Amino acid sequence: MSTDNAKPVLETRNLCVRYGKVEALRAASISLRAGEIVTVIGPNGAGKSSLLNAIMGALPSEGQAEGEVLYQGHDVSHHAIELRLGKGLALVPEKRELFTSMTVEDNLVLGAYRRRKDGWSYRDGLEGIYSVFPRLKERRKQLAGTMSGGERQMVAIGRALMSDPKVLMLDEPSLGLAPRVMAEVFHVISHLRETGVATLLIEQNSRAALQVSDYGYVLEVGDITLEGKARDLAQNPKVIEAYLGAKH
Amino acid sequence: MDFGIFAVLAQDGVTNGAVYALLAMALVLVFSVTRIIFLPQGEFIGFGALTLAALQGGQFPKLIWLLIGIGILTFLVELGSALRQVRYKPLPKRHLMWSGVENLCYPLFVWALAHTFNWQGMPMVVQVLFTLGVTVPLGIMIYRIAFQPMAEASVLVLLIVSVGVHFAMLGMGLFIFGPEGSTTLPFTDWSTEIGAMLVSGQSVVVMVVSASLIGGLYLFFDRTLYGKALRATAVNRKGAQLVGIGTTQAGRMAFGLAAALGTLAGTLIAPLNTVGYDTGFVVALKGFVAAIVGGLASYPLAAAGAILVGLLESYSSFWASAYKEVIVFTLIIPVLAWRSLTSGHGDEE
Repeated sequence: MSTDNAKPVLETRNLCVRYGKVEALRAASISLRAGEIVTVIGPNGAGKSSLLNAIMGALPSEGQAEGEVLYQGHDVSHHAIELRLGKGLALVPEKRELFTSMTVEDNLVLGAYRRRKDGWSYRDGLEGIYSVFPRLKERRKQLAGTMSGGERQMVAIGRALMSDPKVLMLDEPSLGLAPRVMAEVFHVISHLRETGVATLLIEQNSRAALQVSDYGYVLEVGDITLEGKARDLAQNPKVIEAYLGAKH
Repeated sequence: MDFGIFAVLAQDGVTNGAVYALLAMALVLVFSVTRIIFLPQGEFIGFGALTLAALQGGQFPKLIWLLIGIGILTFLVELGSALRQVRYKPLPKRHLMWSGVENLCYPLFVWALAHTFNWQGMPMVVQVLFTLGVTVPLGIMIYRIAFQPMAEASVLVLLIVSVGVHFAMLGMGLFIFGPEGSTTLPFTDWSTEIGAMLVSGQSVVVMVVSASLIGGLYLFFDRTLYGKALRATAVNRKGAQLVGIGTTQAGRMAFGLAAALGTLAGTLIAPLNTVGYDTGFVVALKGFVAAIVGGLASYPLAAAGAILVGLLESYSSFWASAYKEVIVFTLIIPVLAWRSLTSGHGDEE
C-alpha cells in the first residue's frame, strides 16, 4: 500500500488482558493506519474481543488491561471510554448492545452524544448514515428491537459512525447474518476506507474478512502467531488449513 | 356512603395519588438507570418541606449545614480516589477543581444567599426554587459518596447500601431538624363547589403541579438528548457506555432528578400535613408500591398505580381507618403475583 510510511493512527504495544488469574491476551502489538482495514482472525476464545474491548477501555469490571494503547501517538490506555470516544475510537460490540426499546433514529442520535459541542448538527450526521444505509431511513421510526439481525447490525455500525470515528472497531459484524446481508455489511466496510476511517475487524468468517482487508493478524490463545498482508495471509498454507478450509 | 362522601374521598385519593405518582416516577427513574432502589427518597420529602417551612418562618434553613458538611465529605472522597490512582495516571486537576467548585464553593454560596436575602417575603415559587437549590445537589453528592464507588454491584448490595443511606439520613435529619414537624403556608385559599362536592384549591394545585411535572418528565425523556441518554442507560448500560454516556453522569442526573421530585412532593404535602424529618419514609413507600405496579420500569403504569394507591388509601380510611396502611401495603402481594404470572419474557437479544 502507498500508506506504508504514514504513521499509524492506532497502535498497541504489549497489550495484555487478564480476567482475575486467567490471561486472555498476551503482549499483543498491532497497528493500523488511516484508511486501512486490518483484520484479526483466530479461533473462539483467542482473546479477539478482549483486544478490542481493551483498546476501547470497555473491558468488564473484572478485566484488567496492561500495556500501551497509542492513538495518534498518545497513550490513551488510562482514559475512560468517553474520552477515547471523543478522540475518535468507536467500537461496535459483538452483541450490538442497541437501545432496543428506542427508535432507530434515537439510537443513531445517541451515537453522537459526545459530539455536540463543536457546532455540528446531528441532522447532517443522520443524512450521512442514511446515505450509507438507505434502509435505516425507511425504518427510522421503528423500534430497534423489532429489526432483523442485519438491520440491527446496520444500526450498530451507524450508531458508531455517528461519533465520527477515526478508528472503527467491529467485533464479529457478520455473526448471525444471512450470507446476502453479510455481503452487504462487508460491502459497506470496504467503502469506509474511502472516508479515511481505519477499520479494525474481527471475524469468524476469515475468508470474507481477508478479502476486504489490507493487513491481517492471526491471534491464537492470547498470542499473535502470524501477521502479514491480507493477500499473503489468504495464501498462507497454515492459515488456509486452520481458518479458510479447503476450497469449496 | 352517599355520593358526597364518595366524591370527597375520591378527590382526596387522587390528590394523594398525584403526590405518590411523583415519588413513583423518581423511584422508577433511579432504579432503571442505576438499579438502585432509592429508599432515601422519603428523606427528601421531609428535608424539602422543613427547609421550605424554615424559609417561610424567617429562619435559617439548617439543611444548608448538612449541604456544607456533605460537600466537604464529597470533595474528600473525590480527592482520595484521585490520589489513590496517582500511580497510574496524573492527578486530574481540572476535575478536582470542578469538584471543589461544586462541593465546597456552591454550598457556601447557598449559605451566603440564605443570609443575604429576606426569604420570608419572597414569592412561594422562589422559595421552592431555593429549596431545590439545596436538596438537588445533596442528592447528587449522596450518589457520589455512597453509590458511585460501587455502581457495578448487584441489586441486592445496592439495596443494602440504600438502607444504610436511608438510616444515616434519618439520623442526620433528627439531629438537624429535631423531632418536631412543621407545616408550610397553603398555596391558595380558593375553593369552589362542583355539585355537592367542595373542591379545594389546594387539591387542584397539587394535581395540576403533579400532572405538569409528569408531563414535563415525559417531554424530557422523549424530546431531549439528556432524557434519551437516561432512557438509553436504562435500556442498555453497555451500549450507553459505548456511545459515551458515562454511568456516573447518568447516575448523577437520576439522583438529581429524584431529589427534585422528592422535594417537590414534600412541598406539595406540607401545607396539608405536618411534616417531620421522618414523615417521608411512609409516603415514599406508598410511591414504591405504585412503582412496583409499574414493575419498577414503566412510568405510565407506575402513575396509574399511584392513583390506585391513593384511592385505596382514601376509601380504606373511611371503611377501616385503623387498617388503612395495612390495606395499602397488602396491595403489593396481588400486584407481585399478577406481575410474576404475566411477565417472564426476557427479550434482550
